[in-house]
Amino acid sequence: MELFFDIKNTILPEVIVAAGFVGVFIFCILGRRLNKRFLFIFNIVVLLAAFFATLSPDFSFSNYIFSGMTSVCSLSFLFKQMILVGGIFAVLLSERYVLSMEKYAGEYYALLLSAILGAMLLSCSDNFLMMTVALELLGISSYLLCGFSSDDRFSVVAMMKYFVVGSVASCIVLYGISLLYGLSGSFQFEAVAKNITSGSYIAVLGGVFVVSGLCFKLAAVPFYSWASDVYRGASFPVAAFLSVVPKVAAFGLLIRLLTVVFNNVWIIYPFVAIIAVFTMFVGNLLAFREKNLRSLMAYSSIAQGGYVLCVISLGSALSISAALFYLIAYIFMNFCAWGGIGLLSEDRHVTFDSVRGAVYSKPFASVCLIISVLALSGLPFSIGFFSKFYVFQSVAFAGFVLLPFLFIILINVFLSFYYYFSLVRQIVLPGYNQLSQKNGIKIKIATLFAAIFILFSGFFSFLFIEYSQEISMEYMSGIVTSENY
Amino acid sequence: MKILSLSALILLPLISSGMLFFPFFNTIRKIRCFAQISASIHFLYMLLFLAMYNPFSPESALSEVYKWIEPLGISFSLSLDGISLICAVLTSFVFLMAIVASKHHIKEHQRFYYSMVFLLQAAVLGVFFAHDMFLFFMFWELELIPMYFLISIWGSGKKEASAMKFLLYTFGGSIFMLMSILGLYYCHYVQTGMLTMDMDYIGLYNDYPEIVKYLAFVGFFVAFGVKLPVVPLHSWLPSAHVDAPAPVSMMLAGVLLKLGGYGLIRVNLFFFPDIFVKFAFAVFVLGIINIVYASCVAFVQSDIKRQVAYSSISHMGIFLVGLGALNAVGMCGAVFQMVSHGLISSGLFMVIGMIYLRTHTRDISLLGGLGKVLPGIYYLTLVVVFASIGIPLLSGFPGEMMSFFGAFISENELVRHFVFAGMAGVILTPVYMLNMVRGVFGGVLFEKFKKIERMHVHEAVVMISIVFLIVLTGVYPGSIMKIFAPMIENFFSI
Repeated sequence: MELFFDIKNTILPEVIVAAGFVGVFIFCILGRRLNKRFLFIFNIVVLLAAFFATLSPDFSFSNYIFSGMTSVCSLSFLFKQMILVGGIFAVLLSERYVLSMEKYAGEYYALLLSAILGAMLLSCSDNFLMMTVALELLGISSYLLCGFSSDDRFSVVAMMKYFVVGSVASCIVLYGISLLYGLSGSFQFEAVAKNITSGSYIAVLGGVFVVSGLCFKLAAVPFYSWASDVYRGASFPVAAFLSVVPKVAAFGLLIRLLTVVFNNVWIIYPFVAIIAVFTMFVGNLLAFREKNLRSLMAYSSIAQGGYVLCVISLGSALSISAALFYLIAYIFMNFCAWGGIGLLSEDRHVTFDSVRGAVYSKPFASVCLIISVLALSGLPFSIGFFSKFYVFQSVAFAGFVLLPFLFIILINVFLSFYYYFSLVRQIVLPGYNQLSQKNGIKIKIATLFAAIFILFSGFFSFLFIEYSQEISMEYMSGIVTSENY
Repeated sequence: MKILSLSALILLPLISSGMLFFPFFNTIRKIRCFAQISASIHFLYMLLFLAMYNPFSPESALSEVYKWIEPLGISFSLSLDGISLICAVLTSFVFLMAIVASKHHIKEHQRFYYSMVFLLQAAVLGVFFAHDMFLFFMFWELELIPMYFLISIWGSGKKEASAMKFLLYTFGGSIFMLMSILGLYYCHYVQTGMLTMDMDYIGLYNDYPEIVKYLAFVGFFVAFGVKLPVVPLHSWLPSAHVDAPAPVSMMLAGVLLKLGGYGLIRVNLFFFPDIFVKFAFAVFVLGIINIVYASCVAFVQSDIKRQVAYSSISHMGIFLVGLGALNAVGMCGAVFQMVSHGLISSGLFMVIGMIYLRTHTRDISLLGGLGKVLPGIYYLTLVVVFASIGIPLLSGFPGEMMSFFGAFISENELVRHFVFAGMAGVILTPVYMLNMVRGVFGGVLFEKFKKIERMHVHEAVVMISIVFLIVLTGVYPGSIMKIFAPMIENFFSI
């Protein structure tokens, strides 16, 4: 009974998703000709059930299940919620893709669920072993999803690239972990933190390796090059999924690593800040000359990740709450943009020229795409503006020393205006295009929901700010007590 | 006084902007009808504010405060005083005129066009009314998006490049403004423990460290200087004005440039009077550079629209001179100059639009003799051009005269000594303006222009209303002076 309570308050969402994963396979074995619609509904039900399971956890029970492999706090539950929302969006966007498949629809859904499971475990792992397992679960599922249409050359090339870069990154993470383990003799985050001394070069080296390996999932600077090929090579719902869910999970882990493990290691925070600056510049400058819509989204999401890295590198409660708010906004903005692109054209080579004048031939998709792109650039009164402003505010409140840092972020926002507005201009200008994509009603619903959320939740941004502040305060105070203890 | 609501004034265009997308508005006629009615109602409502406003009693300054983002100390707070009232009335008027004038200029996607115009109007009014720095910044940014579309879709020539240039210049300036706002916000929080964006608190608080004040002043000045524009930051303006359609140029010159001037007064002068004193001479010199440089450049242009665009820069130089004088007279002159330039430049762009519609050229060497076939336009244009030159009894004169008179009696000795340079610049205005009139309306009439259309009714309405206001404010400057003068005198007496 006690175990049951422990599970209910700690990893019930993960258990539900894992059960769904097994369930999809069982259905696949039972009936080869099982209805795709049934699988879709089953997946949505599983994800919704997992989402509701995250809503009311009771942290007063003891929470060290599985000898502290996963941490249980409101922060990790918020990340689980974000990942599940992303998963639901991805399932909705997959509608048309799955219907066009002749076989393996069940496997597709199963892989989606396992990737979500990996992401959830990654964001709440409190142990380097758990982290590695989750990283690999997420990674392998994503490689397979990326190359799912194996008869397509582009898709396979993208998968290989993703796989090669990903395995190198995993090796680097493992090497860093082995260094930290050698120093501290433990895999547990808090134990590692207690046993490494702040000036130790080995600890710095280990930290740098772990963080740089994570940059693969964040598409941050040393390992950003896969993003463009993968987003272009994968089918559009998978690309949308990969641009949001693994990123959010890796940010969850990074926040935990920085605040718990590397809090006292002297160079890690500046290291993250340098990565952030390079990431922003690389994303924004590469997007400048890009004419392919999917590659543009890849560079845009690299740059957006850079803004989040910037605030995370400050490490205060305020900055973490800014990162949380930005990630919430980012999920909706990115899925709305991908939904719009998917409704316009599923072609992986869709360029600026092919969407010219789209607003007159395909108004719904174009307007959603315009809203999301403007929100990504910071359209006033949309949630994008408030989340960006909150990021600026938290950087400004880190003190006047960081004024140049704030200036760099603003310069990057300035650069991003150019390509976002170029895209909008192409869509709006009168012209001739040959977009003849079939519509999918679920894709439309998901995109419309995201667009409405982007436009109107800005007025209620105080709710998000209060909520994220509350969570990050609680989280940071938890860190302090555990250090004392 | 319940009927006067500032948020209604912002919401009205915003709602109109959304309502245009109803399926009911399916013909051009219905769309235009709705747009004109909505803009007229807005203007009449605005006049009601003007009638009820009592400049001598501080209580009559309207203000509205709603709680909004409390964790960050941001409230939805609007207020109205003399300067913002006169700017808002000008906005409402110029937008009404521009909407009426759009009839023949905008041939496609009317629904989207009028919706963007209303969105722009809401954003501009938001800037004028905002009493919270966050709100101010947000409306300031919001105004970029409709303006970008207005230039890049309905413009001509290199419209896309010009729209992007406008966007990047203005946003580049906004970066500095945002940094200044955040700097003040943070400093105020550190020193008083109060997290607020309200102008009353972070603006009128005096104990910031000196360096913060200087940095914030310069940051705000760059942002507003791009918009005004001040000469080194002006190069977006000629291309944006030339490539925008005529009604959009009217709005751009008539109202959007005033945002910069309004910001300089509202933020740079009212927030940091002690820093402004030190920078007064620099502002004055920038004003003189504006006047002389822009006049010289205007003289060599062959495109008449570009000439008028440079004349805008030159006239905003007079505004800077009045501001740099730092006394009540100069400042009244500066505000008056803002209003009169709003009327004059929108009149001039209207004229150029009318000529372009008929002749399809703006090159001064390809035009000539139009005065014979378009006498109505010719005479009305002459009034506007004379006002622009600064002939007495027209609206250009009081603003110019008070600005320079203010500079003459300025406490700053350097300013007093260098006024003559600005006066010399003013002599250049008639040179290019009259040259333009002669080139377009005088001389030999080309054969192909003999059968061009006369003035349409809606064009006559626009031109006559603008000319009426130019004459009214010129003959009786007190009509608008009494709205903002008491407030300015009050500021300088403290």
